[in-house]
Amino acid sequence: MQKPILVAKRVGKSVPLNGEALTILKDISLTVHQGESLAIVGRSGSGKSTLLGLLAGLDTPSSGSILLARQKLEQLNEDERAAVRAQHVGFVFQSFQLLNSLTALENVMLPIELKQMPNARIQATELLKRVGLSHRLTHYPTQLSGGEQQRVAIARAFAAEPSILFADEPTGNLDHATGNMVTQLLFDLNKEAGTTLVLVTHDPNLAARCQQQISLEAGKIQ
Amino acid sequence: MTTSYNTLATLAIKQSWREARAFTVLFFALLVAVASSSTVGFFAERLHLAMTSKASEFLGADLVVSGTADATEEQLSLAHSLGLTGTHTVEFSTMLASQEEMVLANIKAITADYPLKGELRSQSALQASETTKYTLEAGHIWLEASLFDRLQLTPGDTVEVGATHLTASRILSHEPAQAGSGMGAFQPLALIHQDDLSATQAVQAGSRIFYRYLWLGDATAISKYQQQVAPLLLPQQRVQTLEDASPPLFQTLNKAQQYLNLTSLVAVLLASVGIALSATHFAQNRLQQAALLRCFGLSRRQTLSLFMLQLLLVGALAASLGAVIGWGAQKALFYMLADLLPQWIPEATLSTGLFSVGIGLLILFCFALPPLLALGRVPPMHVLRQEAAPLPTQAWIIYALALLGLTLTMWQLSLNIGLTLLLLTGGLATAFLLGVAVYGLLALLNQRLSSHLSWRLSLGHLLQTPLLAISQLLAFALIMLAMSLVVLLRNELLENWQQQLPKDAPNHFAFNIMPHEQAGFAQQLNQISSNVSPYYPMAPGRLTHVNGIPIKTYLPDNSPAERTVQRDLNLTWTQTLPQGNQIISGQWWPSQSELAPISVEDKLAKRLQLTLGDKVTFNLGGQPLESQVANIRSVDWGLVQPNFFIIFAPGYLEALPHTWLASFYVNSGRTAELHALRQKYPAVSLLNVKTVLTQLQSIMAQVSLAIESLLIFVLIAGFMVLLAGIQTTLSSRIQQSALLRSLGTKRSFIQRLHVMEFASLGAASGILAWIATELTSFALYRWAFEIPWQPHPWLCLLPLAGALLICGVGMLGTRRVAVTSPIQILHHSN
Ligand SMILES: Nc1ncnc2c1ncn2[C@@H]1O[C@H](COP(=O)(O)OP(=O)(O)OP(=O)(O)O)[C@@H](O)[C@H]1O
Ligand SMILES: [Mg+2]
Repeated sequence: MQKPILVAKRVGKSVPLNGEALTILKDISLTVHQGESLAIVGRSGSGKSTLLGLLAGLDTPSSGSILLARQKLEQLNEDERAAVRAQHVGFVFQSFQLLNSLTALENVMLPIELKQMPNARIQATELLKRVGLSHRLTHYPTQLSGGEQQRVAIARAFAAEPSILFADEPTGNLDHATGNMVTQLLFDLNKEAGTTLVLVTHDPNLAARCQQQISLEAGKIQ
Repeated sequence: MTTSYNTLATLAIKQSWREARAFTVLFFALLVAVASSSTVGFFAERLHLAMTSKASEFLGADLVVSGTADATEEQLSLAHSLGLTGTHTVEFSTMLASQEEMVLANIKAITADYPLKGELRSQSALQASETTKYTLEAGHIWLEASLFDRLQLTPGDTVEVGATHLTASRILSHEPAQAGSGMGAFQPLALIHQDDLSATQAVQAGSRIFYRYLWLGDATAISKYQQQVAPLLLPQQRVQTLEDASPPLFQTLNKAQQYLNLTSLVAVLLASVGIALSATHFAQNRLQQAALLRCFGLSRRQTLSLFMLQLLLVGALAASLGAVIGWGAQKALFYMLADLLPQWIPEATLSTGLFSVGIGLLILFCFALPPLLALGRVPPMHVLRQEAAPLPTQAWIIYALALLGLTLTMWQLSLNIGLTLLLLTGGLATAFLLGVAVYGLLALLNQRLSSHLSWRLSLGHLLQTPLLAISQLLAFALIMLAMSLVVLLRNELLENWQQQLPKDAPNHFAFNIMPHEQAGFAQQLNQISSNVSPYYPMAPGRLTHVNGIPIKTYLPDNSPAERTVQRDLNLTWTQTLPQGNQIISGQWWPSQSELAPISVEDKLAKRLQLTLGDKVTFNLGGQPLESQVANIRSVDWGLVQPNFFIIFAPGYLEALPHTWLASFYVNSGRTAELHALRQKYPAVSLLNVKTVLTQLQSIMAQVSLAIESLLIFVLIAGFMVLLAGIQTTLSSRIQQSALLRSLGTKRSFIQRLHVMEFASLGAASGILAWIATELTSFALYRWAFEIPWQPHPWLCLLPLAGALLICGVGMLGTRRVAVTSPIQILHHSN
């Protein structure tokens, strides 16, 4: 049995809205081990993105605690959480979030350069080849299709060699076939690098491929 | 921390290079800003240098100590200890005699190094061209043309000077220190060498000698000397610097400087608007990137540092390139002006360039900081939930700081806090109040026109974001305000100067006109001169008593007035107050008076401690005449016209022997006629004061040309700013147009929407600029330039011009919107 990399205990989140506290998440507990995969499913507005943000340390929970890579996130300040993200975390987003002013290659190089890892260009080229885009290196995001953009985003997410990857509806903006291709890519890379996967998805196929699934409804695990 | 600042710096360089496309607007806004303000800076600096060096040519040196006493040992050793170089001249009045004639002349004994600044020009014959090639040697004398005339000499003849004979080898055509000559200002001038001085035997105990010590040195040494020599001065001595050398020259110079400062203020103002707009645009476009970088694990500080470094890099590049362009443009300007200016103009200094680069960067950061700091507050959650955008809470504080920075910058540039504050507070306050008013007007219009779809869509776009709309309105209004102010001031200032110094301002004096010759002389002069001053009678008289006390006892020992009363004063009488004179106190000729009423020049009155009603006795050709001070008046000594210390009321001096005096204008093409006049009236002295005038006029020509060239820069800067402003709204426009077009509207409809929107924006800004221009120009005229103000009806064209201009620039800036197909836009990922 491997060590747990992500542990959430009775996590809750509420935000002030018009003077009242609006509860978005309540009593969420889960454990994910290194190399495993977790799918978070649920209806729109059930709190999936909020939970993902909390688990990745983008935001802090209102109650409960989250252990990410053996760090208690709620005890860290924003800069310390940033350091944890820099070291361990990768992201893939529903809307890709590529920088339009950079080429595909430059987008992938960015996290490598930030981590001061050597051979950024070679690494990035290698990764783009791996996602089947070796012929689109110098293209800008606006010149790529949605599926191609998402593959660049996945290459970028793996570029920093994260130990855990968070993906918010990675196939949400893609057609069925392209979605499948991207899913396959995620799991292949997960296997190769031993990266832990945490996915938010509406796609039952994708959810089924994960070792663990949790289903949210109105901010609670069903 | 995994990411060091070194990495951030390298990354910043790479990112700036990769994102070059995204930086274009910012880059060019800053480039134009720094280019225009540095052109102004370089140009103003060099023009100032050129003008002051001209002015010092006027004086013949940087500083002159002159008087009827020779310099003391202390004064000389002080000058030498400060490292000044110097020379001196000795002046006296003596008779020059040829075989035929004798004439009283002012002799100046010089050495080979005279003058220290400027030049001596001479001619071999009247028709020969002027040259600076010759130096005066011992045994020679150079005479003004009128002396050759009156002594009936030709170059090469011998002249008797006191006890010696010298060869009159050349005609003296230009001598720098002519203005404000120490003595015998109305006597023609001759130069001799100091080696011949003792031979003339003119310098003896008791003879009146005027000594002039000319000093040259760097500005600090000169001002040190000016301070330290003051307590060492003898009562008969005084110090002259550039400022005293020629008051009208310096008035012109100061006005020109003020105007150039104003133009650079406008350039800086425009620059900051442009930079502010594009910096905001830059920050807005970094919203997504900021959130993403935070997800990658950069801290808030690191994210900000990355953007700052990028900004600094691009800014430094654009600013230094701008300074280089400014330097080139200034070179080109001076090349264009080459005919007007002296051969050699000091180079502009590096510090001026660095200064404008620094100012460009300062403005960049002042205005980029608020939106950038807001970026720091982007929560990383923004990537997951778009609406989690930050609110720039402290923006107002930072904008206030930015404004303060701008004020300091402008103050530094203009070195005039009054002008800066006036322009800034006045402009801002009126702009803000009027901005709100115009916004209200737009809203009202929107309400009225809301039944009309196209109006609703176009104005609605403006009014959706009220703050942005107001700030754009103000920005455009500011640009139009700046441009119309520059045009306005150019015209009015030039006109004002022209009035002060008309084209045919007198450039000659005629004196020693005998009463019986006067009518004939005047008639002949009228044929060659378009502008002759009134003729004034002139009679010599010596001041002997004040209130019955002999002047020797009345004046304290070593009084500066001693010199004035030791010799004859030139007295005149007239019924009308001469031009350029102003009564300070008393009455211009009281109707009834027991004693002869006199008018006294204010400075002389102060030196003699005279007040209204004092009784002053004159010795007029041996006869005493008692007079009474009726008024005290100020005199504009800058004008080339007969000016007098003491003027009598008519009816008291007419019986005395007197001659007449006048000043007149003759253009340089009429030397032959002037020569004929001189031949017909040999006793009359004609003195050419051409140098003062041509210098003033050439400076005016330089300045007006400079102003015209600078206007182009202001225009380009304004145009860039407009484009930058429209650029910031481009993406939201593309979105709106894509939406409308996907709903099936035609391209022309969208274009019409744009026209309507820009036209109303331009017209509204124009109205604002109109009012603000009138208010600001009123304040500037009243308090900064001190010239009369009148409303400018042509400014009512501003709203129309604004509508046309902004429409034009707007359509140019948004042509991509209508051209881009909706498909392309849907392709955009975020
Ligand atoms: N900062 C906030 N302020 C107010 N409401 C919030 C905030 N953050 C989240 N919510 C609300 O919490 C609920 C959950 O939001 P969340 O984005 O997590 O849903 P989701 O499950 O990701 O939905 P979708 O599948 O549509 O992306 C929503 O109703 C949202 O409006
Ligand atoms: Mg979501």
